[in-house]
Amino acid sequence: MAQPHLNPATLPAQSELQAFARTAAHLLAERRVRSPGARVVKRRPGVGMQHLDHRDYVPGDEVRHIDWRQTARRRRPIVRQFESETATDWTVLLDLSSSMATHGASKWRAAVAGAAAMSYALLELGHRVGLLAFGRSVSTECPRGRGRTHYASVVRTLGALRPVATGEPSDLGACGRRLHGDSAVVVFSDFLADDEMRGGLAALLERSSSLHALQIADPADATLPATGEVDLVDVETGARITALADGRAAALAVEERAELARRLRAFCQRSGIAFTAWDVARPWQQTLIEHLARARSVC
Amino acid sequence: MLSFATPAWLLGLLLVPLIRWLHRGGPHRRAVPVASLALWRRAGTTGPAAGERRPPDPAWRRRALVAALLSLALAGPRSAVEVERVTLWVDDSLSMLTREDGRPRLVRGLELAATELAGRHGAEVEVRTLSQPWEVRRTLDAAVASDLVSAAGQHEPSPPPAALWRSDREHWLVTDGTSAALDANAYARVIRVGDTRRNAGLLRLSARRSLEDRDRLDVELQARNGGEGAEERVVVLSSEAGEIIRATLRLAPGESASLSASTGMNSRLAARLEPTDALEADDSISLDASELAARRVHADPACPAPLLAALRAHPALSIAGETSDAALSVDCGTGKAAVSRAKLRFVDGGTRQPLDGPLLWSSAVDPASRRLGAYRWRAAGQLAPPQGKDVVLLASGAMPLVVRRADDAAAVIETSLDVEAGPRDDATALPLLVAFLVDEALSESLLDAVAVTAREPDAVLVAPRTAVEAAAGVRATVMASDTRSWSRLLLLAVLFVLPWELTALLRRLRRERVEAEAWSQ
Repeated sequence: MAQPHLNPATLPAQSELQAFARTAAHLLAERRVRSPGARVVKRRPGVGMQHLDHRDYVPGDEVRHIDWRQTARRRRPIVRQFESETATDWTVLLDLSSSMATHGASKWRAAVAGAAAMSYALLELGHRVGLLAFGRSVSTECPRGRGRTHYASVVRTLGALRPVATGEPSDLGACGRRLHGDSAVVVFSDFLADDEMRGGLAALLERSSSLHALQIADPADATLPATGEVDLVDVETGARITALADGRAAALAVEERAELARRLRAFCQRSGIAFTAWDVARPWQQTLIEHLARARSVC
Repeated sequence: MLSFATPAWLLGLLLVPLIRWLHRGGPHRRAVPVASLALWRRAGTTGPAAGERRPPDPAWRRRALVAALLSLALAGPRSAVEVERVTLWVDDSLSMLTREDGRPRLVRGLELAATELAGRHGAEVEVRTLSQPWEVRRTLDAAVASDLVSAAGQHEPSPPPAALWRSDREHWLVTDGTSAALDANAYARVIRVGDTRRNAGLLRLSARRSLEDRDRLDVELQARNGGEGAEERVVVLSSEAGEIIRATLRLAPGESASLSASTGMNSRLAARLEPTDALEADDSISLDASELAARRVHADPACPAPLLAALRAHPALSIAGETSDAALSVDCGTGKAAVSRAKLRFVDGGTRQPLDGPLLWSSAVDPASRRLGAYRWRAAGQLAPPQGKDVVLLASGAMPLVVRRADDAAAVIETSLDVEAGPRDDATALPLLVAFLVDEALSESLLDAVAVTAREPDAVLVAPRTAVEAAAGVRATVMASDTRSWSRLLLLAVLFVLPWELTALLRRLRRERVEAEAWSQ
């Protein structure tokens, strides 16, 4: 299988990114009320300017955050807590497993376009954006950064990535150990694993302020280039099964793929994960806008 | 009956069940990479149920066929077939040219043989002559018959070589039965031709230089009666200058007679019998006597008088002036020898000295020519040591006396023997030395030259022998057993199936490559 090549045409054009960023700005900044008349108050402690609360001092806290008046009043060290600024930090996770490289790496190209667009839009809004590429482990990391110059770093990182054609499984849980602080996480993957990576998503949910999952699907995954009896080889694990390649087998595969997406969608709904199934045939702008709009009601 | 040259190769047939067993897994399955086996789990085929066998890959038949054919071909299968093989031996002696009913006996015999062979359909025929038995002709048609007639009469017949007398062939003979060397009983079929029983012919015409006069030839002619009746013929001997002698010969059956004559030096002599008879070929005979003419010699004027006298006394030499067509030139130290194909060089250093010891002859010298040892020679100088391919013909101790120098342009003979005074005890030594040197220089024996044209004594016999008459007839056909090998046919079959298999493999390879490229797009 040929190694997919990421040429400049794979990345969205500047005009497309700017247009997408303008549209995404509203969806990322505004929060829709959950119900008429209700007011959503979602305040979390973190790094910010707005004072939120006090708490006892623990070793490691910065001395400049000690509230000396409260300390004198309570006769023990008290530090100030600040309200975390919403989604200040974002981390984009990119699936680099071998399943992303099948069928000419169409899924990989879609994931790269989506990751680049999301990074651009978030950086335009002043957020810090980091990038993690993962297979069986995190293979590449672009640390969080801010501004347009950081987008260039993100693009360089994306340009250097190549999914391995065979033998590279995906372990989403490995990314959880690389997440620091409180950040929103966006996952671009085909989620083709035994448990649809639900374990990994659950682990990420614990370490992120909000979690977005975009399942990239290629209809070609449910087709076979031959007829008759064939040996099907899993590109990630190398496992084999014998199958009779015909119309019935393709129909079963389509059903299985739909069932996989249904289970993943149900899991995400239960867990408060913004989920979108992305057919590679659909434009990335439409998919991402729809996802962000849907995410406002979930996260 | 089928048999095998190397039956051990038949063990290769055991590969057939082995190939069948190796293909038990069914047709070759392509390996198709997929993003996740989870999508195809329900499409996976179940394994064969207990007791149920999958059909093998159909390609096993093709491969087993190649293995079986190859094993059989290497085993060398062969079958015995009955083949009728005839070797027609043709007596192409002179007597077969006897004309009867307007045509030679040989033509009649070949026609009869062709008629006989036409009745043997499928027989493998080869035609050989008794004079040239190693030359074989595969058919007997008009062109071959004409070729045989034109080449006949050169030799008297002799029995076929044992190597060609193969027992798996039927041997036929076309002959007139005149030769006693042929055993007619050995042949399966003898086709005898010829009824003429009277003939007289010339056997031999020879000439030699007359001992009394070097410019004349002594001629001898021999004739024989080869028939069964008394013959009387007029013999006419002639040359380019005209008729030499005419005489009448009366010959009893089987009798020979000779006729002698003397004539001037002529290059061509001819003799004929008058009147001619049925076998005209032996009624005339000719002789090329040009080789008996004296050789022109150019002698260096500086040569000693005894040497010049010896050269003049040589019967086969004539002293000539400085001409370009001299056969031999004699150089006595002036270097003015004429251009010729042979050269004698006499070295004279001015000092005379006795020889170191007895004469020593080279093995290259004909023993009959070693006639100088009885004389007491002296050396008149010292020859240069022999170089390269030079040959020392005569020496005394370590001193070379006669040397043949290697020269591409001419044969050069050098000698340091004293030819001015010669041996002291005998004046005949110098002519013998000159004769020896001239013979070595010209590479021929001039004094003993005889020009001869001769036929074999039985060449003029035309009457068949009684034994041949009795043997002529048809005998039982000999059917030779031959083996036909089937290996080549089987190998051809392999060469047919093998490309089939290779084509199938190449098509599969190409299909998989195209599909893999399409898969990776």
